Amino acid sequence: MTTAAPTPSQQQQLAPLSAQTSLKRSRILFDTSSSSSINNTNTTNTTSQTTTTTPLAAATQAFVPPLFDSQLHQQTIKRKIRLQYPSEYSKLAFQAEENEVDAEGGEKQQRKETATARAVREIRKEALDRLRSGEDYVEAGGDGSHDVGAEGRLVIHREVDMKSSVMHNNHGDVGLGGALIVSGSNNTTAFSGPNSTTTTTEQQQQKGQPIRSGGILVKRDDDSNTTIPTPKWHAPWKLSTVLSSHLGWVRSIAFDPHNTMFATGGNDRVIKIFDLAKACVASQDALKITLTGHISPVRGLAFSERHPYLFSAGEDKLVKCWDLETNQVIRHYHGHLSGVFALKLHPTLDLLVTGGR
Amino acid sequence: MYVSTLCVSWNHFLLTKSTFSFSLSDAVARVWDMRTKHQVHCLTGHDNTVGALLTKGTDPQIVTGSYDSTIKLWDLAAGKCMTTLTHHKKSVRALAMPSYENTFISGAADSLKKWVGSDGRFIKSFTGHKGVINAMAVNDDGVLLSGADDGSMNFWDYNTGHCFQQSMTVAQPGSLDAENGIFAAEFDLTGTRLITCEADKTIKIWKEDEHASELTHPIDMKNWRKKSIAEAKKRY
Repeated sequence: MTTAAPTPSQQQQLAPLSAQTSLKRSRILFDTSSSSSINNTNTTNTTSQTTTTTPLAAATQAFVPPLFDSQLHQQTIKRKIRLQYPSEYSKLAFQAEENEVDAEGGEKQQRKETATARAVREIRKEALDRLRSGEDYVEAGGDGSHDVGAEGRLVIHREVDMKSSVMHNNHGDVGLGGALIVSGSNNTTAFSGPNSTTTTTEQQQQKGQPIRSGGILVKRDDDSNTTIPTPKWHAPWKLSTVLSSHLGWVRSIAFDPHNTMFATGGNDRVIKIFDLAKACVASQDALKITLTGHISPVRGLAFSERHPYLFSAGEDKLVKCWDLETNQVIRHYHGHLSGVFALKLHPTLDLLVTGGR
Repeated sequence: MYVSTLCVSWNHFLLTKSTFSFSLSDAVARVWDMRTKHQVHCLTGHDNTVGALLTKGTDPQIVTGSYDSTIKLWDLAAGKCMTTLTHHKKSVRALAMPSYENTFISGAADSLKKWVGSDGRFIKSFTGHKGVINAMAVNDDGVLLSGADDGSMNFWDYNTGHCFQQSMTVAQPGSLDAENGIFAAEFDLTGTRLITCEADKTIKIWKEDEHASELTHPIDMKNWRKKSIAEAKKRY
């Protein structure tokens, strides 16, 4: 954690304010149970601020959660930002940003700037420190937003659901251009890692660029933030072959488990078995065999995976089992009182399921 | 006078016929032992035709979709209904299940709905296909086809519910335009060919356009985002 130590004069000016802000931060970044102890540490920091340690640095050191490798997390964040937003990464070059903040705090501007602006600058710097040390990992308590003065706002939260996302957007539009928004998404979806961090500066927000975090988080300036899954691209489908062989509506289809042939049943009461490879090229001899036997439209077909059997069901209440070695009906299943509309085989057991009207 | 009595008798006939056919319709799914031809279970509970079935190796081993617009999950060992899903408003005529995950999808005229396979929790509604959906098929690539009574075919990304293609089948020459309609559809086992059974008496084989790429047919992210946000705000 390398924080540039401010000049002594600057330190004296900023000390009470930064102590206040860190107090406020503590309320936001931690839940109520731990906030009291942190307040205590903060007060000790405030009293000992005349020593060499910066109150800011001391405060951030006090906030390091246990079991957390900040260096590793910092590397992960940097890598993620570089991978996902190469253009943003250059803007977010951390060292440059810090220098900029220091330059802003030069003596010329120091006289002009109001207390709010100073607070905002302080918060921004603090947030950058946090980003580097990876402390936005800590879950936000309360409503997740933090007021600094009247205009600037720091929002640290996790986007878990729609509600908090909307809230984020409401707080996102800041009046003064000094706010920094750090949002960490922690939705455990397949597309994003457990802790992916998005950082946007106010310029990007004003431009309203949609920023996607790992294909999940879509940031919109005009509407609420929603987690939108990115659809996978599929090639469009086009018609390749037309087989006209049936004499009526074709009502059912089933594939052979070896993918060599398929059977179709129609309103013309026949079952036709086609060779798949030949049918795909519209060959004349694609039709292998026509099975007759049903007296009403054939509504359900299924090939058995373990036997050379084809099962068929029709609106004539019949459920038949065809032996494809002899091409004859070998079994009937009696019992349906009306037409049979669906037929399926159990994948592992020797069971047949039919659905009736 | 004669005409009126004829009408009355005709009405009477219709009435009796309907009641008669009602007594005949069983609206059940039956489980048969393949070898002994005996009925193992009679799964009763639906109020109307069982139009679609799914079988799985894990519980619930049987899923039925019915024209009474419910879906029932059945315990095969007991032969009893485990869960009834009543989300649909129209009759469920198609069910499909991918090979790579334990979910299934049901198709009705109002929408397509995706469910968790193990307990029937609702996952997502795929809206946008207007028509009576007769057939659905999913391939291993995650492409879902829904084919409707009016010949419209929608291709969806199964995992997200994004409809990437909407097309109509072309009735073969000589048949009427009204003879558009898809009754059954199935992907072959490799998932590269789609075969549809249609009302114009033909079997049509579809394949992927090999010249298409992500550049020529980009995903319309703008509309997809808009639709997703609108659906997220809406209570289904």
